[in-house]
Amino acid sequence: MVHETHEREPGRPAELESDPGRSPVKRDGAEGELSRLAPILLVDDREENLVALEAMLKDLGHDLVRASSGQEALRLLFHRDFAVILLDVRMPDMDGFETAENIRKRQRSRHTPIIFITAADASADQIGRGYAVGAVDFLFKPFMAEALKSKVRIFLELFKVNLRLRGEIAERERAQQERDRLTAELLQGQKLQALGQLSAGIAHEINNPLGYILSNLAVLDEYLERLGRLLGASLQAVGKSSRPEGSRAQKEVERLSEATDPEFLLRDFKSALWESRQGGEKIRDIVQSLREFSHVDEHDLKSANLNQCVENALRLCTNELKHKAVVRQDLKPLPLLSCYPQQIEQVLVNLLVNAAQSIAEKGRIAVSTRVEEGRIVIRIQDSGCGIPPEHLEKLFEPFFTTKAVGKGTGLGLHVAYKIVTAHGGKIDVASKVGEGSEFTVTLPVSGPAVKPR
Amino acid sequence: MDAATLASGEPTRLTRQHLVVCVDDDAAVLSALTRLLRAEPYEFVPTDSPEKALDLVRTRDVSLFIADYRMPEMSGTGLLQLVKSSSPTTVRLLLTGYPRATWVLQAQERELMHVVFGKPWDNEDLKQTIVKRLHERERSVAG
Repeated sequence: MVHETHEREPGRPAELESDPGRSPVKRDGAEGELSRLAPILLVDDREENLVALEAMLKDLGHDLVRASSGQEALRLLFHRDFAVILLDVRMPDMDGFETAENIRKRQRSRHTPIIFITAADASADQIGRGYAVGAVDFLFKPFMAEALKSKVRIFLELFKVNLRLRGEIAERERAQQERDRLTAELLQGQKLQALGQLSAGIAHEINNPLGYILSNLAVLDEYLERLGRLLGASLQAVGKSSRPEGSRAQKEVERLSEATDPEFLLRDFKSALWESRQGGEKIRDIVQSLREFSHVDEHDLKSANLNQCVENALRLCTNELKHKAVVRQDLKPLPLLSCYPQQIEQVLVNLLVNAAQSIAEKGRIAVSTRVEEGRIVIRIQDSGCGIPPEHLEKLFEPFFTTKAVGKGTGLGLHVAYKIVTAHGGKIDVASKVGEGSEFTVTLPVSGPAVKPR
Repeated sequence: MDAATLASGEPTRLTRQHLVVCVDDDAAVLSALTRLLRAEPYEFVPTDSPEKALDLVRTRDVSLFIADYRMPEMSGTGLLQLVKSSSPTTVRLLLTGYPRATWVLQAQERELMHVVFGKPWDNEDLKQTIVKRLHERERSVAG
């Protein structure tokens, strides 16, 4: 492998290396960019005044744009943003004040700094009017070039700072979008991981009913055959009843009937069908829960009854819970909640799996829902090993786990925390080592104030 | 299909004295197996109680023991271990919805069961396996 050696850090072109003696008149590079972006508008009806202003301002290095009237200035303002406008007061047609008013009326130029240029004999009234229409400063003729330059420079700086701030805001918005995207991935990843944990149990929940459905169908096939033979013989016997072969056929029917035991077959047939149908429905339900849970990313808020979410979560976790704990449900009527029901289910699945795993051999899990003080409260309590106090404070942190490497990622509770807070709610835990834990999820009935995520 | 010959040439027969006990917490599974094995030459005893099943193993001669794994009161492997200690010659068959699981392979290594059947099972395969194992047991017990 070839090791490449670079002597300069990438991304820093030579010409931008700082040089304190550098003149501000630089036109290329970053500075040139800004000078194009921060033009100065000079408005005066007299050519000689415009020329004088240009001469005074040219070594600031910024673009200077001329307008000979208020109308022309307004036209130019349609196309460009200016860092500062130098406005002559006394102009025919539209005077400086009227021009300034019109500039202020426009959204785009509402905040552009305006410096009025006027004769020294301007009255207090005029000056007052000038400030009233939004001027930031007055310059009285005759004035010194330095005075003009220093005032203009202030607003040029402000303009540059403004641009930089806007750049930073855009940068932060991009960073936020990136964060949102990663959060979405985290949620999805954790959901898949939870599904993975449940998959063995879910396979069992599906294979079990499948076992007896297929078995029963095969047995029913055989029942049908036996009943069919009996039926065939009976019909034959009925057909032959008045003929000499009649009694032999009749005996055959009696023999078959005893061997077949049709009453039992018919009864058991019905039972088998009913049990198989129940099994089919169990499979249907679990597949439905699975589909809902693993559905990729909801984007719309839905009105959901959280008791339904509880039932779905319990169904998905049946196998995890079945041989570990007796589950007691106490679900009170709940109002509909505007939320992302899949995400709520994800939280519940995490809590239920944790509860089951905290129980060593046999225990109890109690799930309750109710409305308290205008909030939906879901409690999941277990009789498991409990959580020591020093772990409680870190419980919802990402990657915090007490499980062995490879057994748990430590994301479940963190994601649960994120989901619940995004919904405007909170999640709490109370626990005692050796006795068990209780997780409480509280959600405002009004739902998330802002779209979660 | 209820007779076979010993190596010495003597036939064995399966009768209602031969017990096949089955434990599963799902009543529909027990019902389906009962239906399937009703006409078999041995006596099929289904139960959802591991205690009752263990009791039978201790007090009677149980030829074959079928257990599901995931049960509320006791894990399937725990049960099989108890059956093994109590009656080592009883044939043990594990019925499970997830036959490839690590714990199944581990249990096989520990010789907790002789046969593993996945759910869903094949009816004929199950029937034939039970009969075959019963005959094998008879031969080894008698011989």
